[in-house]
This record gives sequence, structure tokens and C-alpha cells, in this order.
Amino acid sequence: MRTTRREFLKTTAALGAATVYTLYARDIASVFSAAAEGDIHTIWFQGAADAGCSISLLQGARPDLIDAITDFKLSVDFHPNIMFPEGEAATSALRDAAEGSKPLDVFILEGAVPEGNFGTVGEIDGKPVTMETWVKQLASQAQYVVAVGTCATSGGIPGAYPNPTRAKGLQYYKQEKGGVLGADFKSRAGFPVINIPGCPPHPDWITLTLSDVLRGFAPHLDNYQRPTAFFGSVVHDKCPRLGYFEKNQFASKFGDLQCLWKLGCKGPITYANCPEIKWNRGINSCTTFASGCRGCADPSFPDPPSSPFFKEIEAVPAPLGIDVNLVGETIAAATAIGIGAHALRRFALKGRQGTTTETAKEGA
Amino acid sequence: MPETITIDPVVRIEGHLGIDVTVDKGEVIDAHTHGTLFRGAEIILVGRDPRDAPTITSYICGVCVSEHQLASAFSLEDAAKVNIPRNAILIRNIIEGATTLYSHLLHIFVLTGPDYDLYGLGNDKWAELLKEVVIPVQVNCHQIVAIWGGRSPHYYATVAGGEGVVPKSELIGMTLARMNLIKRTIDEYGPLVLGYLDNHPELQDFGVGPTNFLAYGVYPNPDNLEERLFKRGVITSGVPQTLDTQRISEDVKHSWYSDRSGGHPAVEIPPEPAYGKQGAYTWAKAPRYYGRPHEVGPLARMMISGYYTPKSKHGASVYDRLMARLLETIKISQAMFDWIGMLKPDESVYEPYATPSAAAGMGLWEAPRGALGHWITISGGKIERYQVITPTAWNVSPRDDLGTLGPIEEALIGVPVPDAKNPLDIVRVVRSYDPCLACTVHLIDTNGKRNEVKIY
Repeated sequence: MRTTRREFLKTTAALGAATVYTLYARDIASVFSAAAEGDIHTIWFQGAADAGCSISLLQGARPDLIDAITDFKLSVDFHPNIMFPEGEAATSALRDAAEGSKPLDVFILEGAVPEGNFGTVGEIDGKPVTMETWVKQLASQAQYVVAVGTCATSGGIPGAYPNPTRAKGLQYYKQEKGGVLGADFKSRAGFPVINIPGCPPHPDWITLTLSDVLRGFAPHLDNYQRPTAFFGSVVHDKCPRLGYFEKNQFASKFGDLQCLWKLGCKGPITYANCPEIKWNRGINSCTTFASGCRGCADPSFPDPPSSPFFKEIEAVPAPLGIDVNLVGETIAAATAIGIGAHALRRFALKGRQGTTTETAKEGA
Repeated sequence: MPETITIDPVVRIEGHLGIDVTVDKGEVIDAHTHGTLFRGAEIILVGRDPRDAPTITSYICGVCVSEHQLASAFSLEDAAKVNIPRNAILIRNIIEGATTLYSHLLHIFVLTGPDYDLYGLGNDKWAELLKEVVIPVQVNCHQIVAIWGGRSPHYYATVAGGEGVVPKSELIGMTLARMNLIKRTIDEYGPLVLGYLDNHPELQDFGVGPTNFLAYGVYPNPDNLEERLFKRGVITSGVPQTLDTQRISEDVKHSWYSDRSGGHPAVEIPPEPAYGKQGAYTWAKAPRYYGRPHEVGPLARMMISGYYTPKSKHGASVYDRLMARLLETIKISQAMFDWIGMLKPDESVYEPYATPSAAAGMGLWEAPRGALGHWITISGGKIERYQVITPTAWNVSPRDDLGTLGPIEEALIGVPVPDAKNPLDIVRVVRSYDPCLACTVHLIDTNGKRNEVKIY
């Protein structure tokens, strides 16, 4: 079964994302297959990171990572945790893409970008190559650039005060626009960096955003360039403990069932749909059975206001009060703009009949 | 003429590692390990609320996702002199066990498995195994962490003072169901790996290392915290000894840090990066016990606890590391059922405490890859000093101040390299330690000569 983008989003808004993901899992997986036939070149590069984003991706179900790897060839070009070639052979995939001698459709960065020699990957002419150099070159060649995880979006843990390695995200450092690529950066397809924060991000945020991009649709992005489908409301608004909050019942110690606000929960200021989508295939979330949200998807993480983690937040942001119908309309409207002049869509569709060379030409 | 081979990056490990080996007459005669990334967690922690340390240190590694926050919580609990409830100890054992099972299975199947053609696998079959076995089993391990932690990787439920999830019979049942599936996979694939190792005694001939071993111990008995499933101790030059934590120190002569950055972890200053320092070649420091390199990890734990004696006549080998990891996997999977059964539904998991304004604490624990220590000093209610020594730091450590090689460097000496373009045994040795280099680490080519190395 295929669905149109418009139908997909309308149903998402009406039923709640979680139901739709389950419903359309097969459909989403088929998108990755189509992409594979089109031979989409993807590079997943790790900057200053702990591989947690990749490990998180392994927990995905919609599709699972294997569907993504084998069908979508997500990691074939370069992925340091799971690829086979070592050393020089591994680096050559990076070099070909960075020099533009091989097409690069989607460049995915996991991890922050530290300044200069604080982080190097491989060597060229006997000299270590800095992550910063790789990232700038790869981004300049890519049709789409996706930042996966808070380190890549806004600096995250390596960028935490006092930022010893002067690490930045791709297009932000904390809440400030700029980052390694600069405020005005646009990828070859004309998009700013698509930010998927979270430390780590939920795997579905990653695979569903990529499936969007590969289907040729621009995800609707908010002011931090995050897909509104996942980052449209704060954790608190969808929290299963919200009823306790409304009755003014607060947990006094960890393990209590009431609202975790006074123990420092950052759900009220953190934009993410964790309690709705739930983690590890629907098992739990940080505000369901656990000790509260730490604001890991907030651009400030792990500095204020997301920390100190156990300090009660003082300001009470007005609840967003999302109107389901309104959101549906907003997304549909934004999508209408997104549809159209998308090089990659032609890639995916054309590529099914064409050869690699033809598809590359098509996109250029 | 000796030839140097560079492998950078070494893939299918977690993080950034490079290694230089110098080969002469088909044998490794020298080796240098390089940590190629510096992140500075200890610097970031200074001045923060001590209670934030478990969350921040949990990001030191995306594979040992549970162990850092546990070690960190233990260090703060040690400083605050708080005893956490029995349920919290059990939940920590369960979280640690699930993470270790996940990490060991991932290593056996995905990371080092392909080095041995262990399952008669070409690339296609590997992908199939990944989809049908590896992904489901690791999903289940992570789900156990998520049940007790909120999510995985990088769960947040552990706080200094205890845990965040009170056991409910529903949660206990969910955990048991997943352990049953994990155990079935281990029962099915364990014998296959055992059989392979039995048929390949040549794996006992290389990858020896310093044959000193160290473990902090892990999985305390909730009714007697000093009694652990895996014991605390040291084996130096074949002699078992009691661990004296005062004898742990870090050397930095060959690391890209100022010369005053090393010392005992409870007193050393936050690391001062000095990239390009003369004679230095890595971002990893050199942890030593009584000034000597020690191997940490499953082999060390199994030996120190008396559960395993190395088969190699050299006292350790690639074979022994793989075997110890597998046997440990089986042992932990059995113990998981005991801990789950000991949980008391609806009983407390957290003990309130006051953060001390001035105190010091030490959290000694085991990550899947070996001994993990966190040292915290609190002053004015804030973190004044924080030091982490990761297991991989022990194993991939560079030369120390006396010039003694680190364990992996030492283990590489003498490894046969019949084909410099395909140094398979070198990579087998390195991966037998399951290095995890976000925490810490690079094979290299001195003459500016590069080798296309492709390993399946």
C-alpha cells in the first residue's frame, strides 16, 4: 500500500503519530527499498560522539535498522560502527564523497564538531584529517544534510560549558544560529541542516525524517530547524503524569507516581513527543516510569535551563494546548510548499530504472 | 626493512581508535595505540551540581550506557554516606547485567564475529544473522534497561540515592519474558562459538599482553554489599592480591596532556590538553597499578573470581579473552533470573540524602569492558574535581613514564603478519579487548606508505 504525503500527514495529525507509525510501518519500509533501488548515497559520520545515536537507531522498529541498512543502504558508504573495510579503505569512501568524485545524497552527522586537532579521522598524505575538515567538505557536496542528536544539532555534551574542545553543532551552538557551517548554509537541494535533537534521538525520529527526505518531501521545520512532527509540543503536555500536575500532586521523592516537576523534571520546557511515541518499541519514557526528563532534546542541553537537572524550573510556560485539527492544517499547508522542486525525489524514482551514473547526472 | 602499517580508523569498535604497528620479518616488533579524540568530560563537570554527574558522565560512552551513571552515582553515594535500598541494588544489577549481555552479544556477533568467519558467513549471511538474531536480542536487552530506566541507551532513572522505578509485578513479568528470549539465543549460539574456539587452538598462541589483571568487582549481593558475584582483586605476575586503590595512578608522559595532569585519580587536576607534546602520541592516559600495566575486562573478572583459568600456556591470549567473555555471558544470564526474583514489589527504591558541602567519594564498578572508576571531590556543594578511569583507558593505554607498553600494545608484539595488506591477526588482537574508544583511542604507516586494508 502506498499513501500520499498529504494523506500520511493528515492521518498522523488525527490519530496521533504512534498509531500511524504502526499502521504505515510497511509503507515506510518500502520507501527505503525504493530508495535502495535508486542507489542513494549516504554517509553517516561520527564527530565527537559516543555512538549512542547509532545504538539508539538499532532500537528502531519502523523500519528496523536492518531494513534501513540492507534496503536503504544507509551505512554502506561509511558508518564506523558496522562497516567492514578498515583504515584507508574506509576513509576512501569519505574522500570520494568529499571531493565530489562520487555523488552524496544524504550526509548525516552524529556528534559535535570539535575544533581542529581535538578530533581527527584517518589520514591524507600522512597527515591526520580533522573532523571539521571532513564535515565542511561533505556538507558542501551533499543534497541534504541531517544533524542527528543534540551534539550534532547544537553542540550537546562535548559543547557543554566551558566547551574544552570548542565543539559546535552543524548550524547551531546552543540556541545561537551559526555552528560549523554558518547561519546561511544551504545544502545542494536548497535546505538548511535538518536538525533531529535528542541525546540520543528516538530512532523513529531519525528513520521517519530520513524516509520523508528520501520521498522527496521537506519535513516541516520549526525555528530550530527541527521537524515539527516530533518536536511540536513539550514533553509535559503529553506526559502520563499530567493528571497529577493538574490536581497539584507532586512527587516528593524518586519512585513516587505523581508529577516530577518539583524534582527538577525538564518536561515543561523540552520540545519532544517522548511520552507519546515511547522508547524501545513502546516500553517506557523518562517521565512514565523513571525519574524525569533532563531536557536532552533542548538546544541548551546539558547547560541551563536544562540543568541543574534536579533544580525545579521556575517559570511555567503556557501549555501549548495543541489543537489536533489545526496542526493537521498547518502541516498540510507546509507540505504543499515542500512538494515540488526536489532533486532527490527524482533520484529515487528515476533511479529505479536508471544506472547510478544517470541518477547522479539527473540530480546535478 | 621494517615496515609500519597504519590502520586508522579501526572500525567496528565504539569510537575513534588508530594503531601503528611496525612489522619486521612477518612479525610485529612495535606498536602504538592512538586515541584520536579528546572530549574533556572531567573539565565539563567542574563547578556543577554533584547530582548532575551521573547524567553527564553517562555520555562518556554510548555502548557502556549504563555503567558510567552507576559508577558516578556510587561515587556520590560514597561521598554522601548514603545506603541505597535493597531494591535499588537489585535494579542496578539488572540494568548492569542487561547492558553487559547486550554489549557482549554485540561484540561476539557484530564486532569481532566477522574476523573469524565464525558463522560461516559471507556478507549476505551476516546481514541475515543481524536481522534475525542480533537486532532482536539487543532490542530485548535494551528493553530491560528501558523498563527500569525509562529508555535505552542513555537512561536517566538512576540517581544518587537510588533508582526511579518502583518494582511492580507487571514490570517484573516484562523483564522475565525478555530474559527468556535472550537466554534462548545464548543457548542456541553459545555452543556454536564454544565449538569454534575449541577447534582453533592456534588462537591461544598470540595476543598475550602483560598478564597482569585487575577488577573492581560487580553485582553486589543486596544483603551483603561486600560480597560480589564478580570479585574485586588484582593478579600481578600470576599472584592474586587484594586491591589497594591508593596504588592506582595515571601516567601522561606519552599522552597529549601537560606533564602535571597525571597522578592518583582522587587528587589529579582536570586534564590539561597539550596536543603535539613531544614524545606523546595519544589522547589516552596510561593508568597503572603499582606502576604496572594491567588488563581489565571479562578475562580479568573471570580469573580474579576463580571462574576461569587461561588455556594458553602464555597466560592469556585472543582465545582466552573470547572464551572468558562467552562464559561470562552465560553466567550473567543465569544470575539475571535470581536478581529479578529477589525484587520486592512496591518497596522503596530511593533513600533521600543531603548533598554534602565538602566530601570526597569513589565509585568502583565494572563496565562490560572492565574496571571502571569514578572519583569525585565536592567543595562548597559543587564538583571541585572529577576523574574517570575507563576500562579501555587501562587496555589501550600508551607507554607509561617508564616506557612500559600498554596492554594492547604489548599484546601486539610478536603477532604474525604474513600479509601486510591484510593484517587480520592484528585486528583480532585489538578487538579481543573489545576496545571502546569514545572513552579513550589507531594500526599506522610510518614511511608515509599506505596500505589498502580490507578485512572481512
